[in-house]
Amino acid sequence: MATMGMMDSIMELLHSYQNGNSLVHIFENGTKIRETDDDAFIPTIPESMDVKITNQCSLENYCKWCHEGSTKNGEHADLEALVGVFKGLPPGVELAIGGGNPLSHPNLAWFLKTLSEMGLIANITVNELHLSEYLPLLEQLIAERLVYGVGLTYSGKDMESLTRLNSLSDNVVYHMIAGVHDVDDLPKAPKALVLGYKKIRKGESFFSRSVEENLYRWYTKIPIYFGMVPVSFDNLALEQLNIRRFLPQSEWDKFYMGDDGTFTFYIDGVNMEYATSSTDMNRREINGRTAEELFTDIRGNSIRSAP
Amino acid sequence: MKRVIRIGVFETNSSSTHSLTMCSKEEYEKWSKGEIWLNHSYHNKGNKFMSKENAIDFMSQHYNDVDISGEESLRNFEIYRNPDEYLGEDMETFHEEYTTPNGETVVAIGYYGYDG
Repeated sequence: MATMGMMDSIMELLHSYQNGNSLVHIFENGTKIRETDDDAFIPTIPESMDVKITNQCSLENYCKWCHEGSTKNGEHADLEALVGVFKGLPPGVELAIGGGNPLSHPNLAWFLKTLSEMGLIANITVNELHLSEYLPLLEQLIAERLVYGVGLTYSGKDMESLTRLNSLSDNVVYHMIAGVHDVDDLPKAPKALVLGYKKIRKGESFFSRSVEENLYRWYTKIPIYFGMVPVSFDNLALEQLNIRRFLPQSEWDKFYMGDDGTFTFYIDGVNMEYATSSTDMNRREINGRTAEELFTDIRGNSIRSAP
Repeated sequence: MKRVIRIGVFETNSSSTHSLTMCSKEEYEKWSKGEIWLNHSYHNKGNKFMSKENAIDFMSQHYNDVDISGEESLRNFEIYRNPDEYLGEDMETFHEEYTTPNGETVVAIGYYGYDG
């Protein structure tokens, strides 16, 4: 077969679980299949959650676009309280853990081990500029299978650590922000997740003509790189770059994982609040409720079908 | 049956993904032997396996003034006689097999995105 980079493999199934009227399978390389015999999915639990575990980040003055509001002296989440939120979820549900710098949380290893014992899949997003200090910890977490996917906020300044990290795991995804990163850096990523530009907090004051011009370059050049690198998009990037223009409806239906709040939602563990997504400023207090209860609330206190 | 797939990446943020075709192992083997063809054409609004004759009939309904009986013509209309022809030569591709808990083996093949 005359193809480039062909990958032939039989993937190991990590977990399968029932979610409302659908069955969800998740495999060792991150592949997820959601299927139902019905015409629409009616989930009763989240398939994944974005979870912020700290507001501490030493790069406060570097990432001038960052919407997280983290600082050098930011607070850490009470992880013993936070872990109770996830009780009752079936093995295979994913957590996308972030911060701040999540690797700076002193109870991170305990938190991840507890999640692992519950069968939950922990993924983590870190900044490349933290690797020089935290790579040994990250190596250990990957080796112990306490962390599966690693989202890496790319800067291209620490090639030695990047090379080392990529040698440890096939599940490293470079996060690149449209409006900030150079679209022409996409081929440097083993896998890439393109994030939309979040015009909130510092992202609002940083927004300028040059950000707009950068976004326009992404908009016009992104199709050039589709065949070169495995690339995904967050929902904001899908909208800002109008990725749908490249996909016929049938393909869109097959690959679009759902709007924010239909299978996912956001938890701010530092303030013990939740919302539809990290950009949704309509935050509500968790007040001792479980993720399943919060998800039901997010979906409008009634079970709705998802497209 | 409704099915949605995220392939080859864990959730580090809410995301969408690439181009891909899924079928049963039985369909894949028949397709590899040229016994059935993949209709990926615009008019089909999605992938569907069918015999070569049915594919020609299908396309004739949309292009009654064009001779589409030849294999080259079918390929031009995105109807592929086997996986090699579908995947082409220029894209980075993947081929993976999954066995679901109910014992069904599913083949996933595709390429990473579009070249514009």
